[in-house]
Amino acid sequence: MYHKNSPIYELPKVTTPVLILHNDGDGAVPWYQGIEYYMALRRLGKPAWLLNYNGEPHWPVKWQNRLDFNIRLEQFFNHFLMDGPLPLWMKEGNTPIEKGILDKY
Amino acid sequence: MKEVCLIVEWIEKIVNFGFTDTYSINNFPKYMNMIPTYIRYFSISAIIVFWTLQSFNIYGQTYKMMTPSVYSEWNRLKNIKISDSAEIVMYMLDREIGDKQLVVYDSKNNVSHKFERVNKAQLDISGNYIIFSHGLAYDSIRTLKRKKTPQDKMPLDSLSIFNVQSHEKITITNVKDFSTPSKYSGFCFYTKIPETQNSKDSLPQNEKKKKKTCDDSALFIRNLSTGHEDTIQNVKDYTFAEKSAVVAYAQCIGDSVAKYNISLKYLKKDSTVRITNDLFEIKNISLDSKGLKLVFLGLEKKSDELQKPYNLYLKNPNDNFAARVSDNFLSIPVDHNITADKKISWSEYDKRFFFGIAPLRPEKDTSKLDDEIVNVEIWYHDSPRLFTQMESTLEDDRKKSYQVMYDTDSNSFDQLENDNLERSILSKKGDGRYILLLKSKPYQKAVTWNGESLKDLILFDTETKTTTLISTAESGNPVFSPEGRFVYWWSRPDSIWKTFDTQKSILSYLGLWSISKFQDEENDVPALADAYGIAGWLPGDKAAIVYDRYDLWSIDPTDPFNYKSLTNGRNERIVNRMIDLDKENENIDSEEKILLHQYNEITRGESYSWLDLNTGQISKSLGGLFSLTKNVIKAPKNNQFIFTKEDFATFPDLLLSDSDFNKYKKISDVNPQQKDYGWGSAKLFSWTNYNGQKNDGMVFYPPFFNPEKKYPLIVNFYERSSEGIFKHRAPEAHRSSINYTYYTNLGYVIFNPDIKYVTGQPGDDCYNAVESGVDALLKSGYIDPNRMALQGHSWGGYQIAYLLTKTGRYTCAEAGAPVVNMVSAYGGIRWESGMSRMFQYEKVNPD
Repeated sequence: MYHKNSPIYELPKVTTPVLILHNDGDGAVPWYQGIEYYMALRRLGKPAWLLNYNGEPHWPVKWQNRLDFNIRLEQFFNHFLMDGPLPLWMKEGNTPIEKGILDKY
Repeated sequence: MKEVCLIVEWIEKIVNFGFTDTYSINNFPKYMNMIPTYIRYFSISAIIVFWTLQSFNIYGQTYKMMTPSVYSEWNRLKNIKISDSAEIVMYMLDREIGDKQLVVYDSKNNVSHKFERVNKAQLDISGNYIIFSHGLAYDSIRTLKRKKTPQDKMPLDSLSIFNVQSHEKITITNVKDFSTPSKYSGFCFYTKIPETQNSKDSLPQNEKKKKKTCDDSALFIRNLSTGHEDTIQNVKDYTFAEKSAVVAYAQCIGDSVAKYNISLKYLKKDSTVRITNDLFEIKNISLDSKGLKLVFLGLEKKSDELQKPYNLYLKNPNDNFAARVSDNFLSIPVDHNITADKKISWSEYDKRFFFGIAPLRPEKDTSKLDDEIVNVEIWYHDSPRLFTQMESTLEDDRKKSYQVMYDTDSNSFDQLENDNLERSILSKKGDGRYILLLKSKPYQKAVTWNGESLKDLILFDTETKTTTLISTAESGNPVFSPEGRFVYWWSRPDSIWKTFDTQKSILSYLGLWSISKFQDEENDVPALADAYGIAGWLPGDKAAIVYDRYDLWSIDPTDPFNYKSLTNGRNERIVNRMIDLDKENENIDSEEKILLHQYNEITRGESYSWLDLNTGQISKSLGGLFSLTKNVIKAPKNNQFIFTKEDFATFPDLLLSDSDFNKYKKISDVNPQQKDYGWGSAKLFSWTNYNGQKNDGMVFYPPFFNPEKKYPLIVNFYERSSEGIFKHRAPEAHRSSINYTYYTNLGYVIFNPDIKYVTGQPGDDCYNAVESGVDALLKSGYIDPNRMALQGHSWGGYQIAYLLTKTGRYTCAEAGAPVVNMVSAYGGIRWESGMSRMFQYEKVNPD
């Protein structure tokens, strides 16, 4: 029953680009679930992004992080659903050197 | 003219982006995001050319499209307070960033006074004065923080006292803190460093550097009507009685070593009595409600120990001294101290007070170097709690104490809690004969897979000093009925309210033979059903008022056949719930009418009605296709009420009325900027799902929705949400969900389908509801099938991950904090509580 209900075993069937939010401070759903999801999609060659707001719990709580998440979410949907531009962060992610300095909106 | 310029600029942008070749009327909204945020302001009169919405007759109107800046533009209502007879209603306006505002509404003169940058506000219950602290502007604080100003160098707040009648305002600068009594009017207390001692520049250098023995803070007691102030220097701590104008304070004296005196000040008589002298430390000063008895902890010798051996002192009503009563606490266990980590509290009628003792805990060997310390966790299979659970409560466990009761009539101590009896539950707000003790340790290990800890229930009789085992291995949260006769709790395994009658020593059930059942009828999660709750009890513990799904039942706890329904909501599917207008009175006053909040499961509309318990008559007041708050605030001394009413387009502003809620008056305008923005609309949507059942959901439409057009769709869901169709969804940067108002404003249609679950197939249940719903919505013709997305978080995130393995028709999806692997998730830990995740999975069979 656990297998039947777990998406991880059926990921080869996915054709939809996925944006994942999972923070490393998540105290309810361990963020390894988000990692398993991201890694499997990456291994299967499917488009996926993972947003991890460092230290934040089950959801971003700090104002600057919530604002950032909402901006990225809007850009993500506008890109796919309203022909909006591809923001740089979706094109190439970011690097630890850029983190906290470049938003790449 | 401004609009025209913007449109020109906007078209230029499109040209510059090189999109003119594909530009057409139909896909106008697609280009919204091409436009920099500063020109998203445009004119409907110009757009109408493209949008052909003449039937709306909106020539000349303008509306703004939303940009992320709206997230911090919206005010939230906080800290609503009403004076004794509704002369004044006070509330705070708070935003994500920026300054907070205090608004004081004067109902006699129908005017509102606004005060900027307010951090904390209190109301003198007479309604004559507002007392509030205010500080620097947000930008100024930001500048100081950027200069790395240390916290103790940041400017202190000012305190203002506003006279509502004369509009006179007095301001006192550099105030540390303030408070006002909540049960009597006329006084305000605040602490600050007196100005004379502030002029440090005149002091010689060595004086400045010398650490002061006593804190400079002084206590100021202000009489609000006369303006007279008493100043007491070097006050370390103070407290005032709840119902009487008496203050107790600890004053610091001494040149090289700090010592403390405790005094009592009677504000009405303007007299002061010294209670005790020369203690080395004073903690937890506590006055009874009338200011007659005083209790506190103190030390007569200097102590450097981490867990200090406090004495307990008590001043009785006719004494002018405090006796060291802890000398008589002979039964205190060895290696236990009285602790300052638990505040001292009084019973309602000041008969008893409660304090804490704590076992001495292991202390760190400070002679060891950091690299000599071994940090190892030892996870033992039979420990009651997981190591991770204990770690998550470490700070609380360090301060854990066992409650001890002191009875001021008999001058006796009763230790209520210990390592095996972890919790004590009082009756009659501490004055009752019986106290319930809970023992849960034998059941704690099973929490790892059960999720809930069972407990043994033990009754302590304070008169005979005996204990009786009421029941073992019970679930739920047992409490006493208001007059202390019954212990009652919801038993999840038995799906019934259990009671224990302390008079007759009988374990029984509430409404055993009643025609209704009281557990959640719609429970479809892998856990035992909860109850709908208990509204309260009638005086004398004569009857419990119990909720089923729709109605209030009056049930005699001593007679299983004596029950009656007070409302009749089930036939029309109206959910009746009581609104508690007097939170301090635990009894339901059978002479007063009961205010009911009613929710119609079919229309989702809500209403207020008055229920007369004597006649059984229910008279409807206000109701309709909108949502009404359950948090109605009554003025303590007359029949004036504050409430809110809302729907998707109407912000829940404050409404003031008498007991006829139809005659309300709007007294706040929290977000006047709302009218500038284009606002969407909300509708219930029903279809037949793949199982052939009627399925409900909500659809949210963009402003000036035109069903002839094709819109992009975002599907967002969790479990069942359509109850919230009339909820106002003010713009906010939510932590996990798209904001429906924002996205409809941008031109999206939002769909939120209700999902019902059967055992063991949540993924398929989601598929059945969501996919059948999107099919039905596509038939309407206004959704662009090539522009559809999913968005959800946590349980919603899991379901999205599942759906994407079954269908490819969505263009994109966002899944927040999703479980994708139930096998690894089962073995994981909920790190916030340290709990194993097992309990969420084991109970897959609701039977």
